[in-house]
Amino acid sequence: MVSQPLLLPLQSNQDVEQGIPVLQTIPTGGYASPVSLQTPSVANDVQQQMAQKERLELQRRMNAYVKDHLLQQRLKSSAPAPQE
Amino acid sequence: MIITRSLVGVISLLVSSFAMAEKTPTDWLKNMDLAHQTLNFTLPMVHLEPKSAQTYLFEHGVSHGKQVVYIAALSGPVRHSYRVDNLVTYMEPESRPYTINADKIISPSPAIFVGKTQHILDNYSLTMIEKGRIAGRVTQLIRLKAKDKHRFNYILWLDLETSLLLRYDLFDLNNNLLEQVQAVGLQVSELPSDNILKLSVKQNDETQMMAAVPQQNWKFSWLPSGFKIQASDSHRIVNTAQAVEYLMLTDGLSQVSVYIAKAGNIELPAKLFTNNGIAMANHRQGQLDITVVGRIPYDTAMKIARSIQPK
Repeated sequence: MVSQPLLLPLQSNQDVEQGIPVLQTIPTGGYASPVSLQTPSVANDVQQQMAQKERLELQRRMNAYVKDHLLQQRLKSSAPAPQE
Repeated sequence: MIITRSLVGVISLLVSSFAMAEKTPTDWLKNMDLAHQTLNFTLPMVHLEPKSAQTYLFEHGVSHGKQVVYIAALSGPVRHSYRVDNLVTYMEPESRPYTINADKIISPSPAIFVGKTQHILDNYSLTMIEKGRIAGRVTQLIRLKAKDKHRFNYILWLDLETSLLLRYDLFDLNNNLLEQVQAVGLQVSELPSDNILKLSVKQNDETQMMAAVPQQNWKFSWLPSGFKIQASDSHRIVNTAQAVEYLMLTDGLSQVSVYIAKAGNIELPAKLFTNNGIAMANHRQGQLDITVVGRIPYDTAMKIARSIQPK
């Protein structure tokens, strides 16, 4: 009598992962900046500068929140829960 | 004689395959917990997020009765961290090395699920799906589907032989992949590595960070199921020096930060996202700006922001 080896069914990774999305880690590349032929007035220029300044300030605050969130995760990772 | 040996082999294979078949997802998680706390192993891994990829070395061992974990980035600036029992030390170029009293390293790591079995069972439905292959090893896939719409979903790949976690994927509610941590090799050894041995006896000379005094001025009229307040304090935001009152919420796997600050001249946009699935919800409440940041669905973040009130 010759014993038959027992083969466990094993699906290939490709089959298994067919339904799982794949991360796209390669940046898709840059894009062209819009070009304007109009000459902006002084008032428009000031407004644009203000808007740009506001945008930068907002960006700085938002980035700071995300950075702080990541830092707090470390600092508070085993902090005791506050008393209710 | 040969036939007897073959029979014994077949029977033991049958028994082990039945035992394997009977293992529930909870058994797998418990075995993973044990493996990640007792085995000596080295795991080179890759961490992928949209538009970023980084390779890491993850080492674990038990030496001189201490559990030691070491994680190091393998490319770019030298960046590493290690845990010896409940002391975690971070060494990075942008700050002086510091040590925190903590039971885990905050970093892409297969250890983020360790010790979380109850949290996972409370908040996720577990399904065993197919088998796969990671780092040349056969793995069991387990899907963690959130029981509600307030947290994201995972798939885990557990090594069939050791139960170590070799890969996890994090998905948002639309099934977009946000993060992937995947082993590219696995070395299990009887003895801990030289590095683990050295760390287990290393004198800790780094700056010790003290826990802040908790503040108790705020409460929530609603929180997603399973979330609770883990910590709170008052501090200044790094970079902007803005003074905030702060609460950290957690469901065991996700951490959510809640910031309460005096309303500024410029109102932050209500809805923001980062590439890797961190949502930021901003809500102006009278003279206060409430900002909620975390890897949770945006609607949940905004609902949390709207539910905060003074005690």
